[in-house]
Amino acid sequence: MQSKVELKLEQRRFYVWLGIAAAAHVAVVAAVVVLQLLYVRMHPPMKIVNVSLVQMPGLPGPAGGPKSPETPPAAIEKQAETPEPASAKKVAEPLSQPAKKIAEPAAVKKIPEKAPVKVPEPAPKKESAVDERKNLQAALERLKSKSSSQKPETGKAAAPSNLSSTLANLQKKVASGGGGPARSGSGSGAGGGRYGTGGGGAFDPYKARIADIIQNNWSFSSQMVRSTSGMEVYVSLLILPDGSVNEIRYDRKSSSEYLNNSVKNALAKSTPFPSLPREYGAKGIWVGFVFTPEGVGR
Amino acid sequence: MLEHASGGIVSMIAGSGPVVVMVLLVLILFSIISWAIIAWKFGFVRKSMNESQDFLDSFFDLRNADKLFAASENYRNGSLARVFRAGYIEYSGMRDRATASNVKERIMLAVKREVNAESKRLTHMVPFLATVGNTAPFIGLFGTVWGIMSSFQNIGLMKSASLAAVAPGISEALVATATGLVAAIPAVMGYNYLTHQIGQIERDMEDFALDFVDSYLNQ
Repeated sequence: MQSKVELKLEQRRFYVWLGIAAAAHVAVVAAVVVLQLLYVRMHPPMKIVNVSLVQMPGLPGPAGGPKSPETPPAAIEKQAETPEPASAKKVAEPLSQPAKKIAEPAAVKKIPEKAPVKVPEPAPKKESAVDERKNLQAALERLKSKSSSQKPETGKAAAPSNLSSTLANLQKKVASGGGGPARSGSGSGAGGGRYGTGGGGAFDPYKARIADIIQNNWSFSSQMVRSTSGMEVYVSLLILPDGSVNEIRYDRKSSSEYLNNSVKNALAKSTPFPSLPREYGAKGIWVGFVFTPEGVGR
Repeated sequence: MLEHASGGIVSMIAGSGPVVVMVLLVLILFSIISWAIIAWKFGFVRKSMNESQDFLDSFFDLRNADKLFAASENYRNGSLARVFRAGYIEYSGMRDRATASNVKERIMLAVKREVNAESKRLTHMVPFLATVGNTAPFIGLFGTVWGIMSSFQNIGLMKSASLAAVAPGISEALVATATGLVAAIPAVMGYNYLTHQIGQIERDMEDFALDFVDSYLNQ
């Protein structure tokens, strides 16, 4: 049997161990706190990516947020009148070559810094052929003045030929008058290749409409993204005359699977598109889009 | 919320409600007591086993009961030595009295009593480890459920069900479950180890009691 002295001794031993355990717990908690503080100091919190999709003319508003009311046609008209920003350095690509495959990566890279595309969508149906002609002539004048100012800077061999072909196109349109579907706009310059409208480019209402549809279905939350690098998805769509999408090609995917999925979802929700205008022919067209957290480009 | 994301566990705990904090304190207390019992009993059982082994060596070397009793003074923490001492004291008392008719039964009784007392001494506070091992995860889960309930209430107040609104509250609440597991895992491991060792000592004592009574009564 245990004596009282033995019992007391055992109790004392237990209390000693209790004290040691408490001290060890305090030490562990303190170590965790210190390590956490060190970790936070060594790895500062990631930057938050704020998604604000670039507002395109006539588009309801940034994706993921509340939709703003449609821009009134008058306001769009005003926008169209504003002078082009100096950053629009690209040269127009002829409309007749939409199926031309991939442009130079350098040209593609410039797309996110696109200047506002200055084409009203709802306006064309109301405008007469005379107005359209006036607009086209104004655009022609701007292009001429722009090309003369840019010539010494660019100096690339491809640029003059693109410019001249665009001019020729525009002249053809002016000559043909209101024969085609009523379209107006004063886009100028062009991105390279399929991903088009970097600095503005010959305005294509159909492509703008598609961009509008996709942007309406665009949903992206910046909270889900940790890194801001590699946040670009290059997608080419083969749109058939009936508006259905025959082929979706991811020319470049983002490092964020969330952005890739957002693109996929937006495209899935947006298809089928409206039927292609007749002048695109029976084979359909390739349209390129660049999706970034900052905006969706054509 | 961003603070919680960047500040780690400490800021998560600071952002928790009073119930979750209470649960965490209870679990930490459980953990402290568990570790103290594990350390204390580990030393206790080891000492008992070692001294029992040494005493057993002496038991087979010295066949004289009086000498063995004197030697057993050095093994006061050994369970077998304690059983032997109890039996020997009873035997000595009976030997002095000439009218001892049922000597074997009385010694057997004294030895059994000591075996029981020794078992009690060895297992003292060990069941607490089993209690912690079984209940700590549930206590932690209770804290988590409570925390999630609170965070859902906050979500309702914020009128937003976005991940940014839901996730911090849930991660705060999950700290309670994690703490419960941190308390329970060592307790279960310690309990299994100690019960195994104590069971072995108890079996040794049972065997020794029979051997001891037979050999000394035959002398």
